[in-house]
Amino acid sequence: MKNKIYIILILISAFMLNLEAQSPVVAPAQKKPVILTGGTIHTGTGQVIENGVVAFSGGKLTFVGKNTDYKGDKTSSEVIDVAGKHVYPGLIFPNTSLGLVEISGVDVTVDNRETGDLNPNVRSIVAYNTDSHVIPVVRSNGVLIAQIVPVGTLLPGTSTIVQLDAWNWKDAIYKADNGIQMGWPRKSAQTGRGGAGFQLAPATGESNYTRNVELLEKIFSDAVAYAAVEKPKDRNLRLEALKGLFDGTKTLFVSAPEPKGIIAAISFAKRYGVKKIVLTGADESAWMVKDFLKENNIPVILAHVHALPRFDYSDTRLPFKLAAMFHKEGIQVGLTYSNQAYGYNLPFVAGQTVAYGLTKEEALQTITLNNAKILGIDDVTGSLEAGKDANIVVSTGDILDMMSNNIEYAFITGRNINLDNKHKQLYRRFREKYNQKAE
Amino acid sequence: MRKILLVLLLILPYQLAAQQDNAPVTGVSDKRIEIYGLKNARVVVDFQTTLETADILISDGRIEAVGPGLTFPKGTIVYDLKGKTVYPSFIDAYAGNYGVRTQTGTAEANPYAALIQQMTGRQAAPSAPEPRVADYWNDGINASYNVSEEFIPDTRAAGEYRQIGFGAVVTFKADGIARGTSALVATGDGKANNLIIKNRASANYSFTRGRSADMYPMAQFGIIALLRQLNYDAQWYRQLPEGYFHDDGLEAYIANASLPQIFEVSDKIQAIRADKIGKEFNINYIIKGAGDEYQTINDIKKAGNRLIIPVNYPEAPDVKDPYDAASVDYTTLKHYEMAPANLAYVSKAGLTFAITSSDMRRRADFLTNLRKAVKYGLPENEALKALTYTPALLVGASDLVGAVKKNMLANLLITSGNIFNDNCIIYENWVQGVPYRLVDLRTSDMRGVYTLQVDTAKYKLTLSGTFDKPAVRLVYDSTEVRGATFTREKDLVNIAFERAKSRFRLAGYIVEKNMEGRGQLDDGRWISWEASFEGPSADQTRPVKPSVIPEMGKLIYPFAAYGQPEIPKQEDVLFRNATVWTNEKEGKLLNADVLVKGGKISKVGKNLSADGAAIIDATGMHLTPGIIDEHSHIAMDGTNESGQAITSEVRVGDVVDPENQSIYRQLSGGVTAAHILHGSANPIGGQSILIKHRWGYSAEELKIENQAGFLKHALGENVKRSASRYPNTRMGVDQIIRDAYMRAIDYNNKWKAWNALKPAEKIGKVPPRRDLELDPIVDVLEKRSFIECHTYVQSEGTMIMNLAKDFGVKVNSLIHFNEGYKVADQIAENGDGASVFADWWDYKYEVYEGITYNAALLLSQGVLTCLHSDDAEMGRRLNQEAGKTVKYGGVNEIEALKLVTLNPAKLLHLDDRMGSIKPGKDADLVLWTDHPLSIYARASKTMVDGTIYFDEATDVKLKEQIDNERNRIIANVLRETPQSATPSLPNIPRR
Repeated sequence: MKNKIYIILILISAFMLNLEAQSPVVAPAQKKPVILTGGTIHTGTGQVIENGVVAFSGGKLTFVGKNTDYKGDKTSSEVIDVAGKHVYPGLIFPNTSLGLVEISGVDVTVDNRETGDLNPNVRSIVAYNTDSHVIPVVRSNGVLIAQIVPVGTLLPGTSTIVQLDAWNWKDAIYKADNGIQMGWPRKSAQTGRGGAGFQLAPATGESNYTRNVELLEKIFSDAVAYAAVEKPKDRNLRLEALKGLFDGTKTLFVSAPEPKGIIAAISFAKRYGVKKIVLTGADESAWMVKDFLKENNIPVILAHVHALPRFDYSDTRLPFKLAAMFHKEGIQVGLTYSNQAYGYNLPFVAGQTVAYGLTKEEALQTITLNNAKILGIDDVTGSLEAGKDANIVVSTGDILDMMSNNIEYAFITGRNINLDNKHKQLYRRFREKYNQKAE
Repeated sequence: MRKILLVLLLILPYQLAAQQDNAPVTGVSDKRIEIYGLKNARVVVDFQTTLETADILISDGRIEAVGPGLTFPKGTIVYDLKGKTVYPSFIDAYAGNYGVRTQTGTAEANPYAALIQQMTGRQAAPSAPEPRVADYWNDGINASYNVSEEFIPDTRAAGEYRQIGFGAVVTFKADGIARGTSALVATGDGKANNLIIKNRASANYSFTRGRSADMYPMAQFGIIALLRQLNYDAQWYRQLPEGYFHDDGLEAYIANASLPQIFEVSDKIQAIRADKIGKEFNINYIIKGAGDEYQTINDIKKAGNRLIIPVNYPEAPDVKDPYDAASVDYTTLKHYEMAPANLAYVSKAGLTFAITSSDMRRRADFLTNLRKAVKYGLPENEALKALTYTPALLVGASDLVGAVKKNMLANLLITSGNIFNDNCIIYENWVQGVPYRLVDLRTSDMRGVYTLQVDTAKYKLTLSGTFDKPAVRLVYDSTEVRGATFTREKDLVNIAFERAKSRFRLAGYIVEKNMEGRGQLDDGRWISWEASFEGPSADQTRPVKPSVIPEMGKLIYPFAAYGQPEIPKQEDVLFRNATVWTNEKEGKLLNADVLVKGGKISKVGKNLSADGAAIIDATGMHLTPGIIDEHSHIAMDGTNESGQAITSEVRVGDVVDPENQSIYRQLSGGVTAAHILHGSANPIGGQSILIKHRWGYSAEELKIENQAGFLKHALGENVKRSASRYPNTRMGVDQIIRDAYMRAIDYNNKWKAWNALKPAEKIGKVPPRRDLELDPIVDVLEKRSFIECHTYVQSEGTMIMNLAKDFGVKVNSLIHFNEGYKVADQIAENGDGASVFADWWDYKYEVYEGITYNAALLLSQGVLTCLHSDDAEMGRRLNQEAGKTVKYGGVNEIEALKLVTLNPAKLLHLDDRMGSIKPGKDADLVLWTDHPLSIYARASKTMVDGTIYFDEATDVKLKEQIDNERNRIIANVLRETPQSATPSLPNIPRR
């Protein structure tokens, strides 16, 4: 009954008020155990299980293994036959402004960049819009978890990890305030090719660099001192926010555009006793300092697999190859997608690396278990292993290839997610238009 | 003190002679003797004649006679120049801004205020347009300007010119597109009246807008369009009856047509562009180049323009830090290495060229760089010709300057010898018969080995190195006496040193080759000394090394990374045993062969005979037609001409950049052809061009033969964004396009009526003005050209379809049309086409309803649909974008591949030769490692016209060569330029 009313409401909205399509209803908590049988299970740990069983109950995985090894009770469970289909861990989308930006070109819908250089205290989660139409679109290709980050200059803010099916940001939280973002300044001035003899004033990269590094030095040394005081007389939100970096409760997500900047930024962080450091937005600059990254055990998140090489002499297909290159060096690699609205392409950038050196299972890991490890949530998700959260995706074909990626089921902590989205709704709506004409 | 003296010498000639004046004498006149005789000199008469011993008679600023054994009249001031060489002074045909005081260029005004406003929509510094005089409508055209109006000699710059050998330079105002006329002026000091040798020496042009107060044109293709319109306007103006219309700019432009036409460009690609626009109007431009002509020397040679070339070699790139060095482009390194060889290449190509001192960071480096060019293979006589005869010829002054001949201006150099040798000294630069002393001729060269007798002790003194500041080496009893100094002031010398704890201060004078004098010791005792010349110093006697051209890397085509010394050649190839996606009714053929001959597909079938063709085993691989990108902005200089709302006159074909790295990168993704369009800033943006990715060839050679025309239109947010410009709404967009079309119809009718008149009837009538803005719209109306329209939302898409229908034409392609799926039925009904993204959406409001199912829905309604990139990155993954339509909407794989091959070929009117694998069609093919729509597929080989331009294996080899070449050049840079030590990193990690 309730559902019917809801459908009527949708119809009224769509036809009478001509509003945009609606986000699908949020799935209720898992009530009954579920067993997915007969599928090819890609566990995310590198293992592939043919004709397997994935069982979960109360939001947790209870069994992942061969069908023949499954001894559990099937009668009290909802059994879903996924024979011929592929079962994967839910994909994890790190370092994105999903839910903070609705339409990047419309200023008032852009909520990911606070004014000022030093905003470690601003928290992405409070602005995270669970009703964003972008989220269900991204989710439909298998992305279930995301790290929501503010962006900007030096210290844009604090990130939170969310699951992508919630009524409100409070129930979206997967891991709150997990990281601080830091953008290391750029030293070199950007140059471009001119038009009709205009000479735009050259950017003063050098002087800005020094000034900005000074700002970071100051706030970090202040934060270290502040963290040592149990009850500060003058409380400071900015310094408070940085505290977690020094006791390991927060990770520092560093982005640095230049090779020397990467060394400088990470050395800086270590000097102030930051416990966990991740390099985001890594590209060929990061590759130039791979030995440094390896020695310091810094994981990297590549945001630009689908990108052009940086320099004219660069390997023509270098951006496609980097994931495999880092992997072979023993550096932990995660992938993301630079534009939140195109997060639905996350599985495909992983697929892209397969033609350039990774195996399919390694590629899968760059968007599942590796990202979970980098984000510090691998204890609960990132792979299909008993005891972890039941974050599962079922695709009728290979999830990494757009020709076959077709998500039939998605579960977040066991909840069966509605995979409808704005694109599908509009598709249906206009198919209906042409059906009407044909009649 | 020395410096001040030198400066004084530069500024003050012995006297200001040979000056004509029509002003009255004030005070007591001081007219001096102005007859000079130069005796016994080696005289380089011109670049091809040298008299070993000759005399020169100069009178009243002109050369009276040149030859051996002249008799000088009484009262001649005679110089004995035995052992000295006399050259004609150099001429700079492109000095620019010399003696021009008013603002030029972009320094003072706020020239990009307009641009900033355009880009941001915010009002920049207010620039009130000046009320127009009866001049050309566009402020970038300053044809009526003549530099003599404001030429005031600049004594400082004149001194600098004289010091590097110049006696006459062409000055002009370097501001704007048509810059008016220049003047050839002498580099002497004095009144402008005396110094202007030839007024209106040339008419000058450039591709820069300078201080123009107009928004238009902003981009290079806009500038070219304006030049084209200017020429048509001039043609029209010539035909106008008296009293109909007056335009100072056009009058001047027409009057200037008889002068040498000099066009300044900022690189060799632009040189070709300037030549092309020139030839369109029978103008043979003299091109002022940028010093990189060698990079496309074959094209430059083919164009055949006379050239003016600077010797402004690039500074050594900063490579001391290996990380910083990584950001130095490959081409920057190559150019650094090869730039000094530029003139050698130009000379070898047999082109007529002059050398200019312009564009130098330090003018004083001119001779050093010139001599470097000679070391890199420029023949000395060619160099001299390019500094004397040719520049004089270019500006029509070869009867006045450029040679030491009777009746020519006495502009000459007195040097110590061959001016192209590093140690050659220019003693004097005579300008219009006035000797300007740079180094005192009487100053004898004291370099050599001497026996120095001081009191009773004997030393060996060696003076070596440079003439004016020789290095000193003093040896006593086979031990060097350190810290010895030698100074001189004309005939007086000082030597000082310390030996055996005693200081020697010697003062004296020169007596022919020897020196002598007195000195004083610490204790006040006076002593005698004497230095007798024993012979030349070792570095003077060392034989001059036969000049060996420094080693350089190879020239590559194009001059870009992944260019090659030899452009790949067309081959006959048999692809054996592939999965062939024909895009024909045969569909996908398994285990099939494709034979390529003479750049065309010859046969498709099984077990074909190779017939002499090279066999490529394609077992397990897929062969598809080359991908065609229906919408791209690669390989063009500038994207938008946003100075006006309607800029249909702009042609992308004018600014194709054949060196753009994206071309090669597109090939790596199987893309063989692309439609290059104007951007979407304007309701009507400009004419586009179809290219094939023939990497290595020139702009003209990239263009697809016999192509249809396409005119870019754009709607929506991009065109209404500029607050200061009409339109600001979609309503206005409709009206401004409609208006343009109506104007085009009226314009066309006027021409038709005019053309119908008999010649006699035309007399006394005003002909219609050729309007380049309306011509392309007429082409659309007459179906020679087709509408490409950028659009996103359904309202505006329907608007343009209706508008087109009202004017009896179709919308060839609704570009992007993210909401096309909402009106797919209408598009199909009209027979219009659509070119869309596979999955782009959400980057602005008008694409918020863009959906990934767009292409599938369009196809389902029978719309001729293709996918495009609009992006150099995504462009090389168009096969993947096609793969997405299989997922979104279930397009079958054959139709999906057509979205990026056959369908764009159809939309671009190329399907008679491209888009499918069919005998007779162009051999534009891609061999894939996997299913071509799959994320796992790599383009293994990409062929255009039977030539494999991308090959995975070659790509690896090229990368290796590039790395080696970079390392080699960087090592040379480090060797040649002392670089300071690597600064330590800002932070050292604690581990």
